[in-house]
Amino acid sequence: MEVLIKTSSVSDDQTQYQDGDIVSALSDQRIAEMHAQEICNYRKVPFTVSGYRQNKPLVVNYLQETSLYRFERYGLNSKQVRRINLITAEQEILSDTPNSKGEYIHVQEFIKRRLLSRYCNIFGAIGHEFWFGGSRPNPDLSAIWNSIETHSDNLWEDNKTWPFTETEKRHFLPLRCCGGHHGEEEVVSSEEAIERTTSIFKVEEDEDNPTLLAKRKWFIPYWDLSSELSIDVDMVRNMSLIVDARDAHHPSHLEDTNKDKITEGIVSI
Amino acid sequence: MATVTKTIGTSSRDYSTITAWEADLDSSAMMGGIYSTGDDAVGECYNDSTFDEQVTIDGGGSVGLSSVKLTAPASERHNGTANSGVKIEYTGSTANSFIIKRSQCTVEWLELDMSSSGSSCNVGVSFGNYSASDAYLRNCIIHDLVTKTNHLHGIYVWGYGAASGSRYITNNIIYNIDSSSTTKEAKGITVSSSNADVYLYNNTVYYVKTTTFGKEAYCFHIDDTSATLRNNIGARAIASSAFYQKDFHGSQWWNCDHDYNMSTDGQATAGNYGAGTNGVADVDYDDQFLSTSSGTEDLHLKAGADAIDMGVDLGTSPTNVNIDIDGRDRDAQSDMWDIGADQYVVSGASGGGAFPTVESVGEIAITSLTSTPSIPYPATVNNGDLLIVIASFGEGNYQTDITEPTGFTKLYAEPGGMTTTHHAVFLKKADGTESGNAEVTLSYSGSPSTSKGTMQIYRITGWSGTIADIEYALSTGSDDSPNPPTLAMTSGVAKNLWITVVHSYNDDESVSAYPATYSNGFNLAHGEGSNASTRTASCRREKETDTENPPTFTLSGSENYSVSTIGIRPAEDSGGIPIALFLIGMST
Repeated sequence: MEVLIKTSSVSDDQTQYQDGDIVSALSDQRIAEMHAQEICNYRKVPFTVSGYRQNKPLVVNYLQETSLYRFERYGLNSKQVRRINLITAEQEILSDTPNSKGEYIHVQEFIKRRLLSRYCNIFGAIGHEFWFGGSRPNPDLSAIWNSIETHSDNLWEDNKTWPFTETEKRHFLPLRCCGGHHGEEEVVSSEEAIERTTSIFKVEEDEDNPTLLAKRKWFIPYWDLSSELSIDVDMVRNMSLIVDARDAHHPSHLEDTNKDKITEGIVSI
Repeated sequence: MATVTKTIGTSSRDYSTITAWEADLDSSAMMGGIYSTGDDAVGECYNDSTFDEQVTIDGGGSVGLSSVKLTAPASERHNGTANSGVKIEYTGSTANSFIIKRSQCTVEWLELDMSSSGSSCNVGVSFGNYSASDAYLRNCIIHDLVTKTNHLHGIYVWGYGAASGSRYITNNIIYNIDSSSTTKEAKGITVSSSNADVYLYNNTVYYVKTTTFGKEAYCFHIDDTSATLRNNIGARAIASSAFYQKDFHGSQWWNCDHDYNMSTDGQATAGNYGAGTNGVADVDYDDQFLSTSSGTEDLHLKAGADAIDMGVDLGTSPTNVNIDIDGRDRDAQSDMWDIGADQYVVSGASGGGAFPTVESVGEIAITSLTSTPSIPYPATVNNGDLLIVIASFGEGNYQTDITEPTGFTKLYAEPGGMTTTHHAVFLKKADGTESGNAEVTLSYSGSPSTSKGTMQIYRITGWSGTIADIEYALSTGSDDSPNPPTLAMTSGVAKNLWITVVHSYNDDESVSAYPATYSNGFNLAHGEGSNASTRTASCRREKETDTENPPTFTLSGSENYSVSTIGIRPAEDSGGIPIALFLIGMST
């Protein structure tokens, strides 16, 4: 997991970012997904003379692995579309007449309208169009990257860090973290990474309107970890300098470095 | 006091996450940072990859920013449907996936896909307590907020108790807010009580659902009289009983200022009265949108939708209310305003313009058929021209298929009386290199030389440029008056070129009269008297309509035939009209 740490505060109000707050946290899975999305972005695929996206295996395989549905049209004047659930392989026929769930599609006008968009995401040929939709939970990263490495020069091994920008390296502190204590290196799940960026709310009578107590629940007191992180605190806080602590030999451990403001007594509910 | 624009994305931008950009809004130039008092901060999101983060915009207060805007540049915006532009797909469980929590704040052109959010994430976008004045949410798509541990709200506008304020929610599309199998409610947009002025203009909310008895499913839930609603679509609220399913409702729906809104299927509070004096109520939901199918929803208005032209012209206030979900400027285009986020436009049409032009028509009679009959290309073929090849062959050789010339697409092929194919029409968008002959390939049984053929080739300019725009209707018969079928172009009214074609076959009957309103007929017969003959006749007209029903051809005697109507749309700036061709094919 990689994190971005706030390195300054404008006040001691916990509803604003504080020095050391974890602003962003990106799991290894999230990093791999992001690079795959960039490499396989359908917008990079040229059009056919008829205005469809060319059927490039790099992109189509990616969509096949990450989408919930594939849609296929029957024939030029057909009003029917086949929807294939890519997890269960279940197939349904959609048309301009609502089905039992009230779903319909006016496919000729639908496709025509899509083709007018410069970001058309429809593949195939006239009368035999196909496209993808819906998000598949927990896509198979191995299958995705196997396809990417087969159909391009990109290697997963070369895409394992988050592209923090120069501005972020000047204004924040990028760190690499792993699970477990010193001597262990456990992978941090995406759920745990996301949890590191949560706020602290107090839910009162109106459950739709909770009160914010702290902008971030978790922080890393990097000023106490300069040796472990191989950083100079003054350099970290100097916005004219680029500092990237991910270059340290060993990632910091969540249990050793991440602090919960509630547990630490900084915020009370 | 400057506008400071920063790019956000994972491909060599200023920030790699929206959160990092927001967290830097208090970076003071006086401390070596970015912003000065009075600056307008703009974050431009790029569709490099999907964002996965909970966003709260409340920064810039200590610096004293004049305004904050989170947007997408034109090249990165969605096209009104999911997965087409900048997308946030939050996978965490914070209750509100996106919070606008400061005044003078605009959020626009983002897609919020809630399908992967955690069980506690029950709100798409929330207007927080401190977003009192000039807070805008516009041109966004929020969808697939399904079954959480709390009530669902696509957009939630908190009441903050202030006497004045201004929050604007315009031109957004919200769909699939589904609280099935829980005891929680579902709302597309909620305006809670104790609010100051909230303006809801030209939003489309579709499919809001609960299943537990007594749990409300409202597309628009209005609990404050200070809300103003114009030109909104609420469609297909579903609950366990009609009492709890409302497209527009809430404790103050009756008392707030609302009109020109549209509801479906009897789900406004009480028909037209509840929808407003100029409201549209009780329309069928399946007549309104292009697609409501899960995974490929497209809530653009379909041709003939009841919402078209039924809105009120809101001019240009509040800012960008005139910009629809596709970026069309209703005001600049002098549109009649539609209800909902989409302004319907006849594709390819913008008024005025010209019909497609037939530049040339060639014919050839084939007296001794081979397996590869052909017709010469026109002497002039330019890049982008439309070429139409009409091929008809007598029945004597029993063709089983006609394969298109290289680079062409088959529009249709018509089986003859013996279930074999002997008439077909092919299309090509020319690349300008065409020369020699356009050659089709026949599959046949028997000797091809016993049969005859005719072919025609049209060259057309000023068409839409998209093969998929060309539509047809086809019928068959056996009499002396082939009647071209009605063709309704799905793309709507435009300056179309209509061509009708009749292909007759078997004996030697000729075309003695073309459809009355059509002209420029071509009719090169080739026949032998019986069973091997064929005839193709075509003619055309220009007509600005979306539906055409040509009159009949007249044959010299009763004959087997197929007859078609073909519609060809004009170029983009030509008022969106197609050309129709009618073809009749006859063979013996």
